[in-house]
Amino acid sequence: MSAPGQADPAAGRPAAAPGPGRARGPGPGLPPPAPEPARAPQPPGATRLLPDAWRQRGSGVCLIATRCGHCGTLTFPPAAACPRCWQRAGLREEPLAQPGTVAACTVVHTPAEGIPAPYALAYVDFPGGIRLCGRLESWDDIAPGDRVTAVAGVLRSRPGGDLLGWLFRKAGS
Amino acid sequence: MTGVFVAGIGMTGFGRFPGETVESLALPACLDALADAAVAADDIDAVYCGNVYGGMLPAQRIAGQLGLTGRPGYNVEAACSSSAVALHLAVQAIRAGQIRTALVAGVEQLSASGPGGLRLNAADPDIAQGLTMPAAYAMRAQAYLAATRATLRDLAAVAAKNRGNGSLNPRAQFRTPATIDEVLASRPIADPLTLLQCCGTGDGAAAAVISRHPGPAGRPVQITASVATSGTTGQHDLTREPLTERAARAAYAEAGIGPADLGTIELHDAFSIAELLYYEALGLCGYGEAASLLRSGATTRDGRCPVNASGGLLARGHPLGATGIAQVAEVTGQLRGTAGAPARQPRHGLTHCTGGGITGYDHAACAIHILSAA
Repeated sequence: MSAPGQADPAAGRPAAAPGPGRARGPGPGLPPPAPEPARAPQPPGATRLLPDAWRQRGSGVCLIATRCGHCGTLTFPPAAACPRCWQRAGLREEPLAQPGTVAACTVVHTPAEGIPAPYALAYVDFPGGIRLCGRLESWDDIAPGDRVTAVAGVLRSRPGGDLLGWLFRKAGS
Repeated sequence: MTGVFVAGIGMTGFGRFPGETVESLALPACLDALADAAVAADDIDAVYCGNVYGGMLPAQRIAGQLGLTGRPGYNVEAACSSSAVALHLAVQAIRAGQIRTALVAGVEQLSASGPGGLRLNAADPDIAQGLTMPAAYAMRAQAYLAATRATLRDLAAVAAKNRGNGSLNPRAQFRTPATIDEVLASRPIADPLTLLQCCGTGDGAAAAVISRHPGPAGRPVQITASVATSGTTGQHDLTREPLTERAARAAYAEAGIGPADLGTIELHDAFSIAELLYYEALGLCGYGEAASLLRSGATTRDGRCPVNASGGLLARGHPLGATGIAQVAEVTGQLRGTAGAPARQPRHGLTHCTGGGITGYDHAACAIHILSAA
């Protein structure tokens, strides 16, 4: 996190530089990255949660996993090595199939740094055995079993720059 | 296999002591345990310490104040189960014949980081999203209430029972009893959990001398099972606790007893829902039957198998690194028949800790010990 007025330390870093942790390519079904991915409209100082794991498409968010070309295991966030067979090569990016399904949810009544209370959290299950914990955009009518999709949002508001990521929204609303 | 005994125990009161330090909290607990075991410095072959937030090398810092330098010091961090995992490692070393006697300390000073909840790892993706420990357990509670006939009052009854037990424990951090209605009326933290259903943050220390030798206590206490393991990642059934189930199965097999043989249990009631889930995971009752077991009174202080007679994490308090050994000190006292313990003197007792708070796992770590009066 950078202090107010300082440049985003990530700004000068080459995006997705090839290296030991990045020996993977885009898989089928994945939208091509925008010419300048979501960094351009981002306010100064803002940071992205798990920057390799999501791409904004309009207000929607494509969540990106990796699938192991060797054993087929799906991993989120994108992995540098398959946790099942330890292969480092042949991991292909693959979008998580949305909508996900709410496994459980709660309303939290204590504020956290940069998160005013109340706010709502859910465990959301996706095909392939992936469960994500994430914030709900609104929670008046959400219950376990409901379908949700990811939308872009601010996870934490901070003086030095917001933390950007995805929130879950009831599908079709 | 070499028998391992709890030769001595010591424990501070739990509370908020911002003027103390890790060393000053641990010292009286260690001195009490060493005196209880009637050992000399030369008898201690190694020092183990469970701690989460206290900085580098707490085992060595504590050993330095006790003249226990010049021998191995092991520092163990496993979140809420840190000192239980430290105890497990010491038991392993004694069983293997590498050492004869060890001092195992657990210590934590959460007041040093100010008021509020635990400082979890801000870089963890779930934590960054806003996940807190109460929220994680609240989602389990929502799932469990939906899947079984347990009610909000059953959840609150866990807290009322343990607050009542804590009111009788001079070492407990929270010694004011609370009724079910008072628990439900306390402020909401993460639905459906209210404040009195969440363990507080605090400070304290506990220590045990464990050894091949039984120690001077009239009724020696042997560690008949010591299990430490880790959780798994993926889509778990939130109404079950497979990590604890797995650890408990291994512990019962190692001790050669079953859940019906237990006469006292100190388990990880970090939140009210946790105690109900662990009744089932420890095999005290079947799936969905935890609320019935609680209502039957079997787990009250005077019941067939008291659970958290000390007040548990909810009332005794939960200085993370101290909790595992505090549970062992409590159960050892009950097995010895120490004054202030429940009337019924048990033959076997079980201690159970989990540690969590990272993305993907149900819980990250779990340790179970079975203690038996020799």
